[in-house]
Amino acid sequence: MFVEKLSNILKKDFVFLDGAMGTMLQAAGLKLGERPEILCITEPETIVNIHKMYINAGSDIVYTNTFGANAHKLSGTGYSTDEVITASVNAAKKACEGTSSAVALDIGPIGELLEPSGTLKFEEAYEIFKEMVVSGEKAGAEMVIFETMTDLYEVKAAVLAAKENTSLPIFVTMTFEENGRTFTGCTVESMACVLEGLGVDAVGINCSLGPKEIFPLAQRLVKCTTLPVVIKANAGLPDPLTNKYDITPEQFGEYMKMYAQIGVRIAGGCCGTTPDYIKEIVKQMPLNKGDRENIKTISKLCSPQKMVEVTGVRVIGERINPTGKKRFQQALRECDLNYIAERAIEQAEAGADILDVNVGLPGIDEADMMVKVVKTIQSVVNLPLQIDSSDPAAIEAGLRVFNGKAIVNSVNGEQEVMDKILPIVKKYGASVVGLAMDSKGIPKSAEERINIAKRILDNALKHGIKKEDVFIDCLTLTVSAQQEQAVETLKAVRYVKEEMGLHTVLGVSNISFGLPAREFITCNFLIQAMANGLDLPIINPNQQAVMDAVYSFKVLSGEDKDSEKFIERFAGRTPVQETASQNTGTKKSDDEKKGDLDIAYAVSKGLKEEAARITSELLKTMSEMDIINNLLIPALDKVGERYEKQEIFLPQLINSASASCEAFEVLKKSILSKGTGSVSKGKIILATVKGDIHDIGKNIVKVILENYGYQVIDLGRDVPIETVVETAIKEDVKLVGLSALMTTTLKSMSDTIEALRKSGHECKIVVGGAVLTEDYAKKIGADCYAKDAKQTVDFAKEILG
Amino acid sequence: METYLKNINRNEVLKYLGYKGGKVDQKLEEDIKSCSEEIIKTAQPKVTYKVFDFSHESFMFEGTNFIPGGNNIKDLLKDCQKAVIMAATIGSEIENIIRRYEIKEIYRALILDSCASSAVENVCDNFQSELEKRVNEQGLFLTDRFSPGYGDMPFEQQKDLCAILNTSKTIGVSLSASGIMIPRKSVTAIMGISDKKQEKRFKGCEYCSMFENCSFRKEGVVCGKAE
Repeated sequence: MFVEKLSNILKKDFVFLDGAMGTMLQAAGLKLGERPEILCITEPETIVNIHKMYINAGSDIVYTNTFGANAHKLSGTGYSTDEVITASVNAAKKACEGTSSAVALDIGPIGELLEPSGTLKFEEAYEIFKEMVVSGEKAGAEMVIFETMTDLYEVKAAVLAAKENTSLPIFVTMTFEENGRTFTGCTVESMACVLEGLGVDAVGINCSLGPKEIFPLAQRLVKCTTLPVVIKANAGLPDPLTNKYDITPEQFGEYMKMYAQIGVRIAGGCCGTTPDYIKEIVKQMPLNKGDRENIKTISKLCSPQKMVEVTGVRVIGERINPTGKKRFQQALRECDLNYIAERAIEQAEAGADILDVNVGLPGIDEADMMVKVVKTIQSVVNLPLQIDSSDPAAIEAGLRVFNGKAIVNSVNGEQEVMDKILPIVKKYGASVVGLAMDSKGIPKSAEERINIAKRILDNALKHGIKKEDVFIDCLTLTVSAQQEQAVETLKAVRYVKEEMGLHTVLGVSNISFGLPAREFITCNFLIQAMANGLDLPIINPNQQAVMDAVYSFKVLSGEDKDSEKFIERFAGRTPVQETASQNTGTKKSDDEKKGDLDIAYAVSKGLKEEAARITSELLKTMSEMDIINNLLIPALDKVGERYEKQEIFLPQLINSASASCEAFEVLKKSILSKGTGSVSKGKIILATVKGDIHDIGKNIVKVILENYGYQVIDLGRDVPIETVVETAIKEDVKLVGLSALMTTTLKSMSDTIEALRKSGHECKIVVGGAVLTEDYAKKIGADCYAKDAKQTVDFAKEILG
Repeated sequence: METYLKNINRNEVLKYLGYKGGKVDQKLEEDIKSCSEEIIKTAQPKVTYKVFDFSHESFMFEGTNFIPGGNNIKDLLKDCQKAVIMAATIGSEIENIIRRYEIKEIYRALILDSCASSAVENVCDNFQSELEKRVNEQGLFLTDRFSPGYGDMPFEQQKDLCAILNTSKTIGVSLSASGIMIPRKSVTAIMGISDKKQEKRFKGCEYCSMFENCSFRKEGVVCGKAE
């Protein structure tokens, strides 16, 4: 019966929501900083009356007084989420009795910021919302509204919680600043793109600004979604001294007519609005009914901050993939997420538009690793991702925690594969790459591949995936092995693009495998493929020639207006050949001049490229361990001494350490390629303790320790006590370093030490952090207090040698 | 009132970087300069504030249940008729940039972090002097700025100040479970408004709850709040 009520409301030309609850409660004497949700239990009549006033003013849907009724905000109030939500829904239901108005469960932000900026985990946020929506549905709410949201990641957790645990219709409205971004940088367009994919019922904007300031944002919103748009503006802007808003009900109604004109049909008021404002909206909006514009269908991928529209060639970076890369495999096995983060940053800076993420490696739990890697990558770059796996569990795990709209790479023409993966693609609102092959392998002819492409498209459409979200990979075969296939691939690309109207993907680099001077073949094939309609090449953006080809192509295709980006890229670039010969020239003379001593100089001056180059040279005559023990470590010791004598200070020390790191990276790769063990002198765990997010100090210590040849297991920041203990035992680590920067998190450090001791695992513990003292370190049972990175190294030498 | 970030104090940055005198090399000078520019370019400075009457018996701020803790703040507000609660931030984008540099080039991350600390202080200073001008125009005087964690005022009261100002909604600042403000480069503070001219009350380290374990003091320098 309730559901019927709501669907009748949603059929109306205009759906009117209510106005502010907080404003009404403050007028009734609520104090600042108090939790208004409790009033549903202590003074339910006050709340019922406010709802009634809105219903009388014309509200079709009233929001329950549950904005902050989550476990986090209610902690310490003595009331549970279920109690507060049940009472609030009951109050709203009571007010709606005998009317045609419906009850929406109102849910605001949790009040604690999610990872990566905050410490609340995506999965924890999901649980908090789950508790609320389950209570709300049980108590009889007819729909749920997530409002005043500023973090798209939090919204995603909320929407999934509602979708997976209730059958309530979902509205979402987020809060923007005048620049069209939320506090966390999410744009109107990204919000619409992600939420439409997740299948919400309406999307919109509320709070923070008045109707005048929100209007341009609403104009943008109606242009980028086909969903109904919801608007709840504040009563203008507030005066901080008087807390009064500056727009009258009449003016508010007048503004709302503009919204009606562009096709907005669901509206109410936010802070500062009262039943009088709702009356005006109800009166004025229907006077100006307009229609929504038709919008162009464009394939889109996004993160909260960045929208990638496939309206030309968009580069997918291929480097996050262990296939054939020993160093990357090692990083995955050691769970060295920083190494992977560096690969992401590198490709973003080289001009990739999207990053492919593949973490499949025998012996690795792919789904678990996918979650870690996706979370790591999105903490350092804001590009959309392509989740690359054949394991449905890994694909779902990756899509779930990715904050944005992703691509799934891939399905193929096998019915079984499509039946498994396409529902996941649909559920998370992703795009999907269809490989033009099936259980019989890769067809030889373009025609057969096209047939499979059609089959994939049909299946995707059947699952409710939009046509613009289906991309086809016509498959690149190695030209040295199957020479006649290159032409077939190009033919298929052209057909899929022109006749089927789909975007195409190709893993380009594979074409040149097994040939000398691969780059020439790769680039030539890339250019031909783009000319035949390839829009989404999967390539290595770090290869200059490959990206040069993309930039050049965009000039000729007309996409790069006035060659602006091309000119920018090539400004000041000397012709390739000349640079190459110059380089070898300097190399030689430098080597002759400075000889082996160079590395010490490069380290002391923090010259990274030099350090790496000299190390490569040294490897011709010296072993890796000799370079470390006889050259690098003495060089670092010298820098350390100067630091202790205060001849240099922290930034210079770090700079030297970073240069030395580059040298180490060269040595690690060399050892991996020979397969002769490792450079590690022992493992050390480093962690910033639970509750603390100040990470720089720990990261500095890490860099320095790595320079001395220790393998650092970096557990990151806000590390749960169990993780430290478990890792220490599992990896049999003899030295654990803990960092805390706040007086409030010292307790957490002390608890971690206690847990380590209780576990019976034998290890030494070194602690550091700005607020720590030698005495306190002793008191909490640490073996060593290190005032800086240098002292940590000294202690490590003592313990591990 | 307008919110702005004017400049980043080089000396303050050096202090955060652990500088204790001696020559600062050319490269570092340049890097501090470029990091300062990057921070000023990226910062999204925001301030929110409210003015309260308060009771001199209980020190409870009118319209709230808030009573500032410790004697230092009560001493500061002793001759005041009103008090201002403020919160400031330089926004979340800077956090993202620093996080990226922590992976890519920790040297620059360190300098950016120090510049960002100095930047949020500058935003507070600018707000304070604007407010002081206005207050003076009315023939009134403003006290020093006092934050939870200074002196004997409990750090935990940061939570109350954030709740009163509704900082998560007004300027995008929320608290983590362990009470850390996010974005990290954010500040909450209280100032008093009085009809009498105010002496500077915050006299030195010995009045500070960080006296025992202050990292500046350990190095023989002061944090700057204690001039």
